[in-house]
Amino acid sequence: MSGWAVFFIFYSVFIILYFIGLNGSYLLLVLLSFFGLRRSRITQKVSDRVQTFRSSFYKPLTIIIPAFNEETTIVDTIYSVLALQYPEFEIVIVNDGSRDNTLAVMKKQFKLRQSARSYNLDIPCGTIHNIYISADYPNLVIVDKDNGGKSDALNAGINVSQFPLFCNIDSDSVVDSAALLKVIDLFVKDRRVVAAGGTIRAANHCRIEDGHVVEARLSPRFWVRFQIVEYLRAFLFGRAGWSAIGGILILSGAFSVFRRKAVVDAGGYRPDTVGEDMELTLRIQRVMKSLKRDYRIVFLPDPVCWTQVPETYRGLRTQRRRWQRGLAESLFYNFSMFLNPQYGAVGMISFPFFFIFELLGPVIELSGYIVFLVAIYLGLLNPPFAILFLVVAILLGIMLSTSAILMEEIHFRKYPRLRDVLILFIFAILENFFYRQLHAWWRFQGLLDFLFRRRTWGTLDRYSFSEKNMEDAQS
Amino acid sequence: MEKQKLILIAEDDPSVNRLITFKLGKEGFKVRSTSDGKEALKAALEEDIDAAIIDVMMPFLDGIQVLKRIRAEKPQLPVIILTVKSRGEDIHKALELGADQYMTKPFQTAELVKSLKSLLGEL
Amino acid sequence: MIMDPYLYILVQIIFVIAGLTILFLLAIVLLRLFHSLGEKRYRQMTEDWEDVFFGYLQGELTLEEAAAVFKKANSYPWMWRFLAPYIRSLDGDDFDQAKLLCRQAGLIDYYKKRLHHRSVTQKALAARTLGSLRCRESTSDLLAMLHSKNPIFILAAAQGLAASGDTSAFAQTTRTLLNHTFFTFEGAAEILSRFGVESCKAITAALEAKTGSGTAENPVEKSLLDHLHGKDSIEPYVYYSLYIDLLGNFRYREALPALGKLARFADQETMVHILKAFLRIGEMPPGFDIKPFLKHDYWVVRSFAAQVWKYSRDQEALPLLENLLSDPYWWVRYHAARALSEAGQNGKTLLKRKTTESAGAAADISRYILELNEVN
Repeated sequence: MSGWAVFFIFYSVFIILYFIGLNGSYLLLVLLSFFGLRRSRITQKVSDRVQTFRSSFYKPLTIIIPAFNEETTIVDTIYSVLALQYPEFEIVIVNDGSRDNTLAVMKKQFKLRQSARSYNLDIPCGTIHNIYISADYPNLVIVDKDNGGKSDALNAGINVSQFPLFCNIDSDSVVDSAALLKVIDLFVKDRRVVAAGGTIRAANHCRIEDGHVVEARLSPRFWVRFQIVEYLRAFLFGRAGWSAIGGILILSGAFSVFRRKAVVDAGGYRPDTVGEDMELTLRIQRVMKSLKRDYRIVFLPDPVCWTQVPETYRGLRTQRRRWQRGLAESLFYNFSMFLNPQYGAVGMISFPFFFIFELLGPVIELSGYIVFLVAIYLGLLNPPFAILFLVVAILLGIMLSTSAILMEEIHFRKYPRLRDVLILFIFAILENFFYRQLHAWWRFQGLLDFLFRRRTWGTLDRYSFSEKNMEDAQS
Repeated sequence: MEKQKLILIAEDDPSVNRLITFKLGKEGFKVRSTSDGKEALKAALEEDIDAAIIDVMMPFLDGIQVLKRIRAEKPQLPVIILTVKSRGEDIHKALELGADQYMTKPFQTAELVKSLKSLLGEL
Repeated sequence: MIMDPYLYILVQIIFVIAGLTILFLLAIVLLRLFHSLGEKRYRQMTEDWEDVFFGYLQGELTLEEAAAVFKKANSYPWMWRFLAPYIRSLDGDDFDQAKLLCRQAGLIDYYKKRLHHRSVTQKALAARTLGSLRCRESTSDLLAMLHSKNPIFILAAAQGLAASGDTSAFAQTTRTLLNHTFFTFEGAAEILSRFGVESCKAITAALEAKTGSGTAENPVEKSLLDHLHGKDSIEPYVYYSLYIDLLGNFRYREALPALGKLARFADQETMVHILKAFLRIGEMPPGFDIKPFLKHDYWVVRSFAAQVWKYSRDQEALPLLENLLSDPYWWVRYHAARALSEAGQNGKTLLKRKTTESAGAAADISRYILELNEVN
């Protein structure tokens, strides 16, 4: 038997085992998330949050929003956050050395004046030049500092914040009025909770009025539709499943709430990674364990943060490369958790899963395509088997996405038109035919970026929410 | 014949909103019903309202903000604030801003009607 | 043709996966259709119900007539969905009438049965519903549910008992929330506050018994007193803090004398809560001396003492407030400066002087407060 044949047999066995491992895990996650979502739904039904919110017993909150070159969106963002219905909160906008008119726009719109408010440097951060307060909105605070990146901006925000909980909302996100309340409720009902997050959904082309998503609409953009299916998978069975076994590895940077003390104890956000949200979540767990503190990190599927997702090929590619690099950095910096029983389900299950299937996944997937083509060329392939195997792989992908859409239908029904849901199903089919492969390639590039320490930041195309709404209304 | 008085209701719970509308209707009032702060403010400022019943907790603009802006332009308009018992801060703020009366939830519709009538000098 | 066994397995797997996918898709479509139809039907039904319910509240329909209409629909969950906003928002005669209707239409019996249902959801929702309906006859069932190991049941039972306002369950609910859940203070207090102002009477009686100015007479007061004596595994200061927070929440002035007495020998945590209660109530017991608290070792006590000073306006305390402007803790400095800024012209002058005469923390905080006052 030729060397190639031997290699191919071993490789085939490896791929089959990998395939079973990956999809077996996904199927398990689907089951776990089904029960987890059900349980979460029962608790939501039983909790009378309206009354909680109207009582005088609540945890005050700081909302930290880092801003860099956000002159077109920052005012909309601030107004939408100011409109949040929460008994007591402050908003800390951290202007991270913007080169455009972000600060000037805020100064004018909110009548800012310099403040003598002081703060402790609980977490090292870049130089803060000034703190401003608003004449019209006493709970609005602007921190002006040198450019230091998102993590540094967040750390500065944490230093200035005064409340026991803080929430990081991205400047291009819109948070549901009730979403914040639902997440904070977790902290109130369980004192062990140190971090909690909700679901992210694509805001593109949704009808947004005064900072509320009034109607969820399916974007007509091709790339956005793929992402919507992906996000449903990632949150409705991905995170929900991990949360059910206490194995949450990531909370989305777009919308997550933390106990300030836990983050300060963990040393704040790490400035030298692009996956700062993920890395922090991992590090908090390490620190909590080392301090021997009982803790919980929880994912709640119901509270939604609507965010702009990339609408173009380039924007999406940049984002996914960055995410993969962030994942690599986070896992690398916290590698002591890998298969470490001390970290429970996170160390023994989710960390290895993310390492093998998410981090190395693109390498294995791409190598699979290459070996497949080589095997065809060398005549080593058993065509019926290969074709059927491919069909199984594609169908499994479709089934998993469909199960996520089904869970969305059972629990949330955010898209009012059935037509939109059926379109999502079609994209769940389509994504297996080139999107997935393209995504694997981008993630592979992201991994290379990590290995060769490439600094590709990129800028996401930005549209002001109100401008976009006008466009939509006219189209 | 005396003109029917027009009462503005700003209450985001649709059931409670409709009940108050019904009860006031039975008492001979005309009702302009709104379910969020923005709409309520617009109605209060642009229409010929004789009195307003405003819930504190409303989407877009809360009742306290609505009251503040009404008072800036229509200082004489009788306003009853509906609030939750435990939110003493709201009651305090509302009275400071010039609410004529407040009513805490849960409430009795008969009491609400009585308050309204006394404000309008109909008792 | 005999298929290769591996191929055969793959084909079977394909059929299963395809079948499941089609099933899921069908489920999506059917669920959506059922939901739309269901909502449409619910809306039609509630249009009729609204006329009937309003007519009944207005006295235009008898109880029996109204109940008959609701019963005809034969859907208690929908009936509750329709009536819940009214039950939660109305009080007095309106509430009594609505509750009578629920009873006559069989809703209360329906949910009482559901308290013993197999399904967790049904049981928990039944507990919540009966609580909202203030059904005290279900107290014993809810107390039994309180002893469950399932946190959903504990939450549902605690909420139900609190909503019912039956203070006989207050002590047990408190103990369960503190002992058997991971609730934070705020979480437990929030649920307990739903028992209403009646609970304050019992709390005050227990505090008066503890400070020797009264006696605990009924079983509830005695249980609360036991808690304060540390007769279970929770530290007394936790109970003190919780009860005092509730007194503050309800602005229960009648508790002021007992709180004033307690403050003199309480531990520092309890002291903080007492001062917080004074802040919420908006006054202090007559003759209460705030000065020792302005000099307390624990900074949180100093901070709250500065906040409540305004209720005494004790001029002899002004030098102590001035000292606090240089306190090592920001919050203490902040509240002391605020107190001074509200202390009339003397206070404001003192602050202005601090901005020019001294450097460092005292000057910073004085400047900050003066600036905040300008902004407001």
